[in-house]
Amino acid sequence: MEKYSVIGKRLPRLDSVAKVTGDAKYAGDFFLPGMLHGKILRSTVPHAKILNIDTSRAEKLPGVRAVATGKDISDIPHGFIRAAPAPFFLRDKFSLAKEKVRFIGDEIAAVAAVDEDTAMEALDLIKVDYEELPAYFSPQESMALDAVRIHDHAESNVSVVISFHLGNIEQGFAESDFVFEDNYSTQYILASYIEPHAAVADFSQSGNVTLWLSTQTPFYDRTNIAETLGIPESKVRVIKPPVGGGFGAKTETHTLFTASAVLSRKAGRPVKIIYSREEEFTSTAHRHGVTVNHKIGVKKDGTIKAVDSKFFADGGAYNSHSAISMFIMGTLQNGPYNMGSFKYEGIRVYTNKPFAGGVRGHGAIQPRFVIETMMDSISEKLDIDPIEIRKMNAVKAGQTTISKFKIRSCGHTEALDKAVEEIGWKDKWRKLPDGKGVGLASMFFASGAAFSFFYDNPPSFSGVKINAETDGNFTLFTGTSDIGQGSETTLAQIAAEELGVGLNKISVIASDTATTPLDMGSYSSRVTVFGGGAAKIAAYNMKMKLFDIAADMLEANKDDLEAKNERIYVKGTPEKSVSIADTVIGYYNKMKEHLTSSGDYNPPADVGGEMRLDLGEVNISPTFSFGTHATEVDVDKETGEVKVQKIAAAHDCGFAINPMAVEGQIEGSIQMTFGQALLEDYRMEKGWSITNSFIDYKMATSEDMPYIKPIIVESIDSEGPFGAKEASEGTNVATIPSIANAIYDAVGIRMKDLPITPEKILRALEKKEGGK
Amino acid sequence: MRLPKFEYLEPKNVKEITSLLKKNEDAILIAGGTDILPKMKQRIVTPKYVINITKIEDLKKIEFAEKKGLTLGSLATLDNISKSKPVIEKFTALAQAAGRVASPQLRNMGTIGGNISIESMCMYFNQSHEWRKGRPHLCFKLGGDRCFVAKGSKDCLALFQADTPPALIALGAQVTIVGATGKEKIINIEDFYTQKSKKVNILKPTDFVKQIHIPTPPKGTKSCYLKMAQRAAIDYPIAGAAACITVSGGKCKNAGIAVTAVGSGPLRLKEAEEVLIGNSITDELIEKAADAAYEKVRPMPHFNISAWYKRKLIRVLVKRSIKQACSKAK
Repeated sequence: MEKYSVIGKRLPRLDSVAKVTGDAKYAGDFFLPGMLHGKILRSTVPHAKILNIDTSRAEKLPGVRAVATGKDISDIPHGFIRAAPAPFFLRDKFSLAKEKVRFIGDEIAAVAAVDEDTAMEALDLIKVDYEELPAYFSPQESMALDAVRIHDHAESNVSVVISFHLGNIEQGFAESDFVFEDNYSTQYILASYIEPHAAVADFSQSGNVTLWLSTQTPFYDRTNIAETLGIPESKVRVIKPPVGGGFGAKTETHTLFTASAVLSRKAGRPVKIIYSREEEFTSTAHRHGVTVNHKIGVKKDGTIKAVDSKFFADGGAYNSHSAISMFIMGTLQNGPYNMGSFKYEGIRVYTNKPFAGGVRGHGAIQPRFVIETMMDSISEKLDIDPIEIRKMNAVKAGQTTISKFKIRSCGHTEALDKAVEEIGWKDKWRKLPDGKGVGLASMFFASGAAFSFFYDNPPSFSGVKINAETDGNFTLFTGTSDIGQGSETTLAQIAAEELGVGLNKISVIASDTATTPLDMGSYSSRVTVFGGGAAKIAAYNMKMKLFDIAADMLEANKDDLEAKNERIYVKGTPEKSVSIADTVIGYYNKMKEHLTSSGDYNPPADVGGEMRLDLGEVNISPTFSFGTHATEVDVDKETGEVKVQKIAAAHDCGFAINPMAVEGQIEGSIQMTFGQALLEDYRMEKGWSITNSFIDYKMATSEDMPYIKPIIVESIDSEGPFGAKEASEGTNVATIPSIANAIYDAVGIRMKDLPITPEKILRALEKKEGGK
Repeated sequence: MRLPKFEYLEPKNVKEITSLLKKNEDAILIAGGTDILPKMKQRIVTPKYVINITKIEDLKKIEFAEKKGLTLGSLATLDNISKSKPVIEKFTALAQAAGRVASPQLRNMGTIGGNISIESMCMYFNQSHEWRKGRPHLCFKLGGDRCFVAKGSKDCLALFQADTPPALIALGAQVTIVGATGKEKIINIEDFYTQKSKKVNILKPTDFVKQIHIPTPPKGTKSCYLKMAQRAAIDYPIAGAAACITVSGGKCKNAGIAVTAVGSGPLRLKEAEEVLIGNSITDELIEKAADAAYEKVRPMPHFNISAWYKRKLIRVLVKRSIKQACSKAK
């Protein structure tokens, strides 16, 4: 008999019909009576003091109902890191500029009018007097000795420095037979969700405000909105309807969220703001572009002894995730290999550009590109098989790394073996004709951050409540945010399995700060382990309450009961059973109260602790995922064109609650990093965003995508619910280096600068062959 | 982004198009709308009148007769052209070019008349109203005094990138233009283009393209269009090249070679054609023709694509398109 009846099954998502038929209502779909339309006035200069904002003409325009500026908001700025002991300056962004603008696109004023056209017209009537300041568009320019400060607190325009040293690298390098050193760079990319940001705010006469937001973090938004408006948090209700992708950028409380509420308060009417695609490009959070200097010391046999890495990140105008981004870029180098000893310096620099924040594969994409490419170089120089060098240095289950990560489960070796087998490595590597090649790369990723970056005293990291209904159905309330990854279905499957009912018996109410328990949101690949963990506990608690009643009804011992097929049975006596619906009625009759349960997930004691991002020795996550991508490419040596034929993507997700969802995550996430590897190139010129649409920003289309073979590896984790780990960010971390390494196998050039465009390949080929 | 306000007009026949164009100043024609609607949303074009010509069935024809050749109404869709049997067989380069435009959805809407009339594009111009109005200076295309593509340029350097024109040039197509008086004028498609980025074709506000005609190529003629773009779909070419080769008695009797996405218009490369004509085609000769193409083109950089790379690509694409055409022509 199969062990499970609901989990481990390829089940369609609960929201699939609604989404496919267009029935799902996103934030932008909400219309309220009397609703106004809002627009944001943005800076047209990259760096300036604001001398004066004259809104008088805009206010007089017929149809305009409210104009807001920095004067209409509180003096509390926002940023992703809010909890103590984080220094104040990590929160450095006002929704509407107070004294300065710091990039072209920075928000200055907001207008609400009877329609969008009138609001746009009003923007043209607002006069802003600037005193322009020198502007800087690269970390090098920003850090020049004579550069003016973009933020008063930031000397040399350094936004944050994270550095740590694990073990002794001097000794590590001394013990190394070879030291490899190289420089790399990666580009700014955009998260590129299909649904642009949208907000509808309704500030009522009673002083409460309700918002429908396209967000990953409704609770954080609630706090930021309350602080910006200067009202108690409990007066703000954020509802997260279906979201059309977030990929990290929707963890920001972007200006439309606060501005819609400010305008609604001023106008006394609901206000809707939807960002244009252009605004998404010019003014929302991007992935950090970095330049890297990396040094790896190895023994002759391939053992890694020491790593010294320096990361310079272009942070743009504001801090956003800043310290977390820089911390992860360092700490997530400590796997899937043991690094011997490790030193890291991550410097994030302010520039007059759109700010960089957290984007899928946050902080892991950049160092993984570097390390896996270098592993390939090292294995070649030492004449060790690239598979072997990865295996010999691999971290293993049960081990604690020098960074103090506790590895509870590890399917890396299995993932590696399966990926290379699928790609046909043995027959292809170094054996394919010129222009064709295979490459591989491994990765690991956290299953949720075990810190509360935002709240000082949250009740728990994730909470779930369940209500029982007399028809045998359950309603599950969760604060986790399904942003398209399908987490509502995952949580429902977990609860259904625990309760012994079908998936159709679980209704999910998700992300409404007024009704669902507090949750940190969807980021750091935390939802399955944290939200799923809470769902499992809540469902178990519900089951125990049902068993209490059923034990009476069945005249049996509670410990002898089991829930399955929507009934409660006495184990081994199938004729003795009662339906769950009858048990719920029995509960009401006996207890005279509603039947509810709750569950909270908190990381175990050996994880997390005090939020010290300046320390490298801290276990950041309850558990870690692992994986390997093996990729086959064709390179056209005359044009430099790369055709990725196939990516075999093996991912250790612990246990696949829903294999179809895991496969979807693997394929979808590869689409994202495939684009970063080869195509996506966000261009700016003197602070002006040039790529403002998907015709110029080359996100991969379905025509561009290679054949992806998702391979699920299950290492059955001891911490995650039913053994599950993350499967949403780690799934794309190995893509870029696996493509770069395949290009090397095909044509013998090392690409160290992203994106790897045909032009760069042709230049590298000509350089290699001495030019034509 | 929303469309600006305009008045909508719908002519029932070709005559009415002319009279509406004459009557209403500041009017534009709309067919597939795939090019014009984004421009209207960006307020690059804000016409008072939009004349929808898509109800005129006459203009949708794709007709082929051995004696008459191929006639394409200006409203023939790119999708229909790319799938038309005679076009695929006799005018292969055109079928290939039409089939590589944008995406299936856009090819269903987009027309051949629209594709040949596409204006040049530029990252400093094809932007929203909000973006453009914030810039401190206007470029030539917006009536200003400079070009941002190349400092010091005395002229607009926006890039012409349409796919079908090089194929049509290589195949020797002719365009029928109806003018203000209703009189038809037939010109070679090469002469349709001004080679000026600010206004790439010769159409006057009261003109419209009625149809395109291509004579049946002589026996032994084959053609090919090759495009390289960053993406496989929804992308303009980094470079595109079309070759039409007639081989008879082992020798090249006639050759048409043209490229796109290198400058202010589609460019016919007579220098490359001349290398081939009268000679028996060998790999070496094809290399020479490709070299001639390389020498002739002076591409403009565009976004992240350098002039250096475009020029390299032209050599490769011209070579490959000739080879592919010849491999079928023999």
